Amino acid sequence: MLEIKNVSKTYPGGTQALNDVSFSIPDGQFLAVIGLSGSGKSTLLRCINRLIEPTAGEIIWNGVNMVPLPENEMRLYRRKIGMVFQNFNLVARSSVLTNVLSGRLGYINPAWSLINRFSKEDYRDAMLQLERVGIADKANQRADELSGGQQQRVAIARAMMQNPEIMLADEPVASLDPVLAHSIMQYLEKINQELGVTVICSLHFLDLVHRYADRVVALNEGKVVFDGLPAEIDDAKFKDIYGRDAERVG
Amino acid sequence: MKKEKNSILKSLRVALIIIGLVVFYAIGFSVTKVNLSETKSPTRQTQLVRIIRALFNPDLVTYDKVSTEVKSSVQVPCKEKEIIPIPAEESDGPYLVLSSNCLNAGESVTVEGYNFPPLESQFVQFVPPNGVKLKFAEASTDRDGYFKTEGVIPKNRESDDPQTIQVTTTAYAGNIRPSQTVRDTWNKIVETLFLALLSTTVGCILALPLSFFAAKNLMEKVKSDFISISLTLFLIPIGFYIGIKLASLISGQINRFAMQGWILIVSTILAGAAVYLLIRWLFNRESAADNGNSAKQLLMLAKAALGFLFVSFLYLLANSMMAIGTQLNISLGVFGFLGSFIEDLGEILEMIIPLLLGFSIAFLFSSWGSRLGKHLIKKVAPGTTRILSTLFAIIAYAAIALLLMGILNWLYLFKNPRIYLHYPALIGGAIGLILSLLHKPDEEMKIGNAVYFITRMIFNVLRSIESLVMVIVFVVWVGIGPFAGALALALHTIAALGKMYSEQVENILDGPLEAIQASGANLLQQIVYAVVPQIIPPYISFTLYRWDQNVRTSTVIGFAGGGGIGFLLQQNINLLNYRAASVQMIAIAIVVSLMDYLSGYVRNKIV
Ligand SMILES: Nc1ncnc2c1ncn2[C@@H]1O[C@H](COP(=O)(O)OP(=O)(O)O)[C@@H](O)[C@H]1O
Ligand SMILES: [Mg+2]
Repeated sequence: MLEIKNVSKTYPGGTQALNDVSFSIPDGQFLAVIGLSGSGKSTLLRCINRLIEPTAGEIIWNGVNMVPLPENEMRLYRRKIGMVFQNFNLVARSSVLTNVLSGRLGYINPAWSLINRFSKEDYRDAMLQLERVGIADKANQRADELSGGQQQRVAIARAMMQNPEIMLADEPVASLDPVLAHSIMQYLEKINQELGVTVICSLHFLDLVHRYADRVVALNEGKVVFDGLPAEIDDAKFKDIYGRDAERVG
Repeated sequence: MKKEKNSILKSLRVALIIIGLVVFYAIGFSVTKVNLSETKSPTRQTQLVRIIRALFNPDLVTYDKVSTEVKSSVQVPCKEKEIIPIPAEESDGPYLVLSSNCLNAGESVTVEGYNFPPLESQFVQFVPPNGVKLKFAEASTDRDGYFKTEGVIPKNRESDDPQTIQVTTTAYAGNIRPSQTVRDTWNKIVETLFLALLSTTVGCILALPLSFFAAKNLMEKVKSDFISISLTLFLIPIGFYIGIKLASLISGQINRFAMQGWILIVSTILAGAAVYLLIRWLFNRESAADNGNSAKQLLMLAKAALGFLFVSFLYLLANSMMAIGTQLNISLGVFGFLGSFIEDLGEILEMIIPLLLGFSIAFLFSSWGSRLGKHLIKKVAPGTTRILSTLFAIIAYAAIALLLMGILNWLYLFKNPRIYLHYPALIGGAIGLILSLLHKPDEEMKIGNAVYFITRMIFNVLRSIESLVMVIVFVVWVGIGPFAGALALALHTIAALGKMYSEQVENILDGPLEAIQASGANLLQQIVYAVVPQIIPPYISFTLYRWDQNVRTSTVIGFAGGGGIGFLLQQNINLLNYRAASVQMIAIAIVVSLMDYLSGYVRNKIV
């Protein structure tokens, strides 16, 4: 159970990206976060694993408020929270395998990582994860030689190396062709359904939301404007979320 | 109305600016002693012409020369007044024609020379039978190789034997060889290039880790609570001191055995193998991760043993390298320099082990400090923590103040213990007290920003001191020569590259860093896995660029005693030997432009 309580974030420039956001996510749910760009989706997701420090509020996971934790303890929680990004965020010049292995960094002694040492099990797991996303043959290529869809699959493999209980996905398909988008979403769905990982995924397209999400939280200017089932988004709700001028297509 | 006033003000301002500029440049002319009449003075101009001609006539080659003596016999005194026939004219070789061959002391004789090298001075000598060459006359040949001069037969040289009047002339034998200047210049150019290479290498190796401390995007992530900062502040110097003491203890123990030859080498290998095996064992243990208490203690013990073994191994390695190096130096003959290289490397290793150990233990202590701090915050009553925090802060800041004052005392030798002990301790303690009252023990402080600021400041200060100036200090320390130059250049390179590298770190893509951080990696791991791969191309490019610059500087660092080609150039300029200086200038121009081209080419290839 992940509880987000009265979380607000004001950036140093004065932009209030999140305004008193509260909701909670039961384990194993596939939650979609939607909203216009600039509505605070990325900020919200990054507040959960504290890549961004919330200015106020609590984020309680299994009874522990993670907001006041010092960095070295937060690390231990972070490794149970996988994350994939819109721009994949692979280390371009490193090999695919190294990128995937780096998902284990939270678990190993930092001294070993200085000499780039991973255990045999980690290597085996990394190959297994790559096989799951269907690109084991690319293990030794440089990450930036791969296509966008392949890079996102590497990113999923990397996140899965963490053995996550929560998977954060920040617009994971926004930079991909619609066809590829479905294959990536299906991986997330599989992780959610087969391994019981909680998925929190920000999305742009409503059809993806209808297809994959159990539940939707919609943000507008940092405020939660909708929280419910995908099917409950009617035309009125739609205008609340996307503004008066928005037209519903498809 | 108002507008008009404005425009008057405006033109007044422009006028003031113009007047100001004129005055400014007038001052500039007067302080740089611009002296145009000097440039026009004829003596200066002839000097200038001479130097320019010398510069355009570099001393590049020498020819093999043969000298021949062109002789003509004479009789002194002239007894029989009989004219010895003048030898028949040879058409190709040089020969002399005298106005008379029968002469008395004090008489003058005209000497004409034919077929001599054109436009050269010729020295005519009188050689009596004992072979002493007496100066007789001097002349210059014309374009056709002809000269004519007159000399007086010296007194007290009368003899019955025939005597000679001769001219020694040198002719080119045709073989062109590089001149001595060229050979000296070549040697010094090699020295220059290696000087630049060494200083760039050392500078780049040291600048790399330091650059992370000067990168804002990394350092602003480093935070710590107030009480931990106080603890680490005084634990770091203590740890460093203990590390250095420990190193000298271990090295003393090792030197006690006074191992030599094979025993030394075998024990080095054994120690290395032990280190390797222990690391492997530890690695497997850690992956197994059974977290029993006794297992933990065992691990701790094993790690301490590993540290001890590793340091011993390093010392043994240094000793072996020195021993092997000395041996090779003797037995390799011409390649003996390889031996002394290994010996030097061993010596360098021996010198840096204490520093390494010092830093490691300081690091260990600082992490213990912050752990202790966190423990106090969590497990101990807030009141007690607050009191402890105040106590630690007072101790820490007093210690820092004492340390800083110790440095100043070393520089200025204050005699008064009040100045270097009591006041700094009091003031530091007071600062600690005030800080501890202002900040709660668990308040997160952005300590990384302070580190960033200090590193940047050191870089900027060092960078602004030209290596040409730095070398003066090093010359005093290690003597005139390329070593002093290399040290000065290396120090400057650390600062310059450190700054450039850190700017590259600040320019990396945030995304991968964010992703690695999200996986639970700590800062060190984030640097290794997300930062380093991104900065490799610019690092290479900047390092090459720096090498190029270092070659440039090392060509002139000899002017300040730093060795290399500049040293030779300066000597020749001081000796007014402009033809030789010209060779060195040409060499510098060639090397610098070649480096420029080469580094540009490689950089384009890489980036
Ligand atoms: N690092 C930042 N500094 C200042 N403002 C930011 C920063 N990141 C995002 N913002 C602002 O916060 C708001 C929410 O941004 P974001 O969370 O990225 O929204 P979304 O992901 O929904 O597009 C936007 O107005 C954006 O301009
Ligand atoms: Mg976004």
